[in-house]
Amino acid sequence: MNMQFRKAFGDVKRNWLSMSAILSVLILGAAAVMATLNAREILGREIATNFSQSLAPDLAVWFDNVDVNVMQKIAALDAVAAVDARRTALLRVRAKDGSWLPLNLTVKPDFHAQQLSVVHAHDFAWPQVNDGVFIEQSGRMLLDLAPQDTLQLRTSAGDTQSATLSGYAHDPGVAPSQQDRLIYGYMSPQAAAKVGLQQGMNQLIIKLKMPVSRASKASFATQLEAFLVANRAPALRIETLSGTHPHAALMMALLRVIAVFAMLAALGSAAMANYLVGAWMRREVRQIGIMKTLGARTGHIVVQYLLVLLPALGLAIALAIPLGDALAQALVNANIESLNIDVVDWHGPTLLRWQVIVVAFAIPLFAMLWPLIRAARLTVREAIHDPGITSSSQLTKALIRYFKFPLSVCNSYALRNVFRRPWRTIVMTLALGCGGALLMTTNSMIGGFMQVIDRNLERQGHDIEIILGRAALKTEVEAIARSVGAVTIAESMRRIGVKVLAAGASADTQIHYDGDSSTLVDYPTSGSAAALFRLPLAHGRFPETKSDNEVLVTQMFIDRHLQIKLGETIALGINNRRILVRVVGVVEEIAVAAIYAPVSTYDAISLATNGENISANGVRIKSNNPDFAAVVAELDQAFLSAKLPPKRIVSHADLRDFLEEHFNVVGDVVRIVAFAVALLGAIILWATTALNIAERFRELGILRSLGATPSHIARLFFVESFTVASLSVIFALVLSSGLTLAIFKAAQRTLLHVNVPMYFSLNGFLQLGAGLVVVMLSVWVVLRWALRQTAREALTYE
Amino acid sequence: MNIANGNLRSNLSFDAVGIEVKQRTSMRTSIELINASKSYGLQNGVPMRGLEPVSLTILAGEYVIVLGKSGSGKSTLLNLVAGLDRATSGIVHVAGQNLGDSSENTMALWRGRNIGVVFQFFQLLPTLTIVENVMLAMELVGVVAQRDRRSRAQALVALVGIADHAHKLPSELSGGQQQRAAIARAMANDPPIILADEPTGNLDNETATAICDVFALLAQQGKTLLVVTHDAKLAQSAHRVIRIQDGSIVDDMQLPELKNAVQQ
Repeated sequence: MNMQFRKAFGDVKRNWLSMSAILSVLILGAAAVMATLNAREILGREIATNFSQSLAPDLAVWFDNVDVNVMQKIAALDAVAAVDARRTALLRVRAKDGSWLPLNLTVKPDFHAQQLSVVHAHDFAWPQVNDGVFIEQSGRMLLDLAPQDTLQLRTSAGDTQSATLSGYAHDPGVAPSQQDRLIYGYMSPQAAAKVGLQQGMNQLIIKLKMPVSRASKASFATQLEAFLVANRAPALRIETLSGTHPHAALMMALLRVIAVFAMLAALGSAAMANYLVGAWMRREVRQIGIMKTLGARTGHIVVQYLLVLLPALGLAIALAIPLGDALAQALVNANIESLNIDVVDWHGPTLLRWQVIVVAFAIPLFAMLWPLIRAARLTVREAIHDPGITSSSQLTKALIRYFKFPLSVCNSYALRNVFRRPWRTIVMTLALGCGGALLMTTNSMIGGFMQVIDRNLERQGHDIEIILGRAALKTEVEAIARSVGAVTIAESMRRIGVKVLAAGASADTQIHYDGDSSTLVDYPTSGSAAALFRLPLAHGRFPETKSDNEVLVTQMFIDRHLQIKLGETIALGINNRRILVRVVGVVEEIAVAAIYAPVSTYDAISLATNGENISANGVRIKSNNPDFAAVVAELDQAFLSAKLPPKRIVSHADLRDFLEEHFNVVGDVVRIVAFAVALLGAIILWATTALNIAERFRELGILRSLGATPSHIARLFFVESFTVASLSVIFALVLSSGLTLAIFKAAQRTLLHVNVPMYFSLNGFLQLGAGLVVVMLSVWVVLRWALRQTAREALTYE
Repeated sequence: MNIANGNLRSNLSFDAVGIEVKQRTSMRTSIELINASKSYGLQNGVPMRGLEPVSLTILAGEYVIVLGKSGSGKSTLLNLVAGLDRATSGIVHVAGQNLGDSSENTMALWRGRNIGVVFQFFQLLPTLTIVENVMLAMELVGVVAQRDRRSRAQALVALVGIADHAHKLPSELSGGQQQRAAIARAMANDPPIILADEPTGNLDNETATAICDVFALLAQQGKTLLVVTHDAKLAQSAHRVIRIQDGSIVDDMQLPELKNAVQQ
């Protein structure tokens, strides 16, 4: 056998522990890279496939009753790809635990001939005749009911109807029920008739031929409006739809996080491979010197060690492929529920597999080549006369004497050792610090958001908001609410859906169907202000009490309609009428885009529309019972008994849960990444400590010969590790402050639309502290081995 | 006070330096090996002998050179005396301590107080200045009071002739200067015994001679010196020369006039 191969075999045999560690790191690293990249690809593909299978419409056209002839005429238009009819209604459904959940019900003319917004039956075939309700699968956990169980439905009239739960279907076009706390249901016209819903379809949904921009949809909507008028079938409303999944942003965030995961896995395994090979090369210094004395050149040395490392890398990748596939499938499986997708193909594309193999091969190879080449380039003298004590770089030498611990040379020595290998310290600090920063940021982000939400909800004055199915006298609505013992204040309100038209609009402005709908809500102005309407003013002023056109808008409303400025007049479309109002103030309210008008303005607007000025269709409630669920149940019953069935009852607790659920989808994944990064940092610190000990093992022998006890040595390494960990914590706090500030600014602008002040999470601090302890413990594990060696073993270590 | 300019002999005095030691061993320093041997593992089922059973007594103040070829067992002997290694059989008694039954911690502290070690490759800690290297040895053992450590370290550095380099890092010094710093470090806690392992093995002739002078002067001050070397020149200034071959003492030459001087 060639002597180089013989030496390679000998090296593997002699260094089997190091080789096993290198192989394990390479396998885990390659498997993690393969798993994350594959999972990202599979999830990205399946999210897109699922949504494309839903055939999401571009426009929704509302009628009193859909005329089949009109539908056929629209389908025949050149720009139209497909048309479908449906009826939607908002009901409530009773879950197994007795709570009533909102049910967004869609009546479909024929499940077998769905054209758009397609709902899929995976576990069953659509029946020819069906009088039950199919529920979207993501609502299964909330309802906790099995197929063929009886569903209790409450209609807008307040009646309770029974229907069979026919099965769980999959609607890839809706957000998961468990996140939005909204159940989606689907039924046939026969079933709709059975539960007393209005007959016939009231909506046409239209898909245009691709490609379709928001502007072209709006343009088509205007043409369609004219077309319908010409055909004597004017639409009540035409709405342009986004054509994207409601949780598209959340899904993209998840995919980005997984991509970061892949990057971290690649870097982590490369860093570990680098360290382990570096430690091995450190022990091979004398052998390299001998080989060089015998005539070996740098290239020979590199080839010699590559004969060991390349097969190890090849073997690692061969073993990592099935492991990576299994991990990818586990990762995809873990996200299926939160994304509400059905995965058809569990495998990543073949091309990606090869790309990943190349990446998994190349990155660790380069990482391992670095210490290998450095060792191979040692001169014979350096190698043979290596004293076993690592010297410092020139830069470190220049700076190192300035690092001093007062009154303790031992601690100064430990402190200086931290900067003996500056790059190593930088990598460690970055890895630990980034993990800590992510951990801190995630905690601060969720904690800060929830604090803002709690404070904002507290400021709103009310605890529960009820939207009624129909309007009634204000006095009657308030009296019903007050009949519930826990209600201390009940303040009725009127609300109506409006379309936001162009800013600076005049009465002649054409209705622009841009799909941006909002809600106009009134608030009483008796006395100085309302009892429960207490939103803080962010800009401008409150409307005059007797005003007939001044309104307030929420910050989110302004953020959505950037063209609207404070003090401007805007046109609102209300039931196909145009009303001009002036925005005089901006109020802060969490994630609500609404227009608030004092009674006088609302009266002026509603007199011009439907004359509902003496009635109310909603009520805000203040309760003295902190168990909001119990109060909600009592209020629900009180309004039902009064034949005023609530369409929606939202307590602040529900709203808080709803928002927290959304934050947690991304928050949980970021937390996992943060832990992974922190773990990576801890592993790097651990590996570096091991490498430092290996490099300075003889130095430890010198210290022992000078009288250092094992506890002295342990203290030295603890001071070193503690310094690195403390630097990392400082770095983490600085980085986290920047990240948190940036996230809060972004959240203020795009998510919460209220002022989000800086917040540091106590939990985050505690987790950082716990991380510090874990890091120190991991260092202790390495140290124990070093401390077990005798002074003579340390002095003669090679 | 520079070895190279020949002034060392007249200046090397601990009294002149004014060293103040907090706690000092009062016992009469001596090294005694009784049938002490050392084996390392097995080769073909037979223990590999580093040192055959040897008996040896070194009196306090003796300057002993151990000569022998590479692999003869001289470093093993030094390791046993320094407490860096334990004898496989026999008794090793150094500075009043039986080294056979002490823990690593006890041994470390004992070594710090009683033994100063000088290595072939100097083995100074690279991130500490010369003064700090000396002070570290004091801090580890704790014999010298905190307030006196710096002044004592500077005095020791001056004593070995490298006062100008006291605040330099070891890598900024020549081999000879580093070895002098290593000797200063070995003297940090005023140990009664100095052990040196090939102290001139990595130095040129002139510097090696200067280092020999330092050892001779340390012996004059009453230190017991055990110097392991294969450099016969070092033997010129010693009281006693021991030759080791294949793990056994084959020759033990004690110069009568020097012996008398030591006894006085």
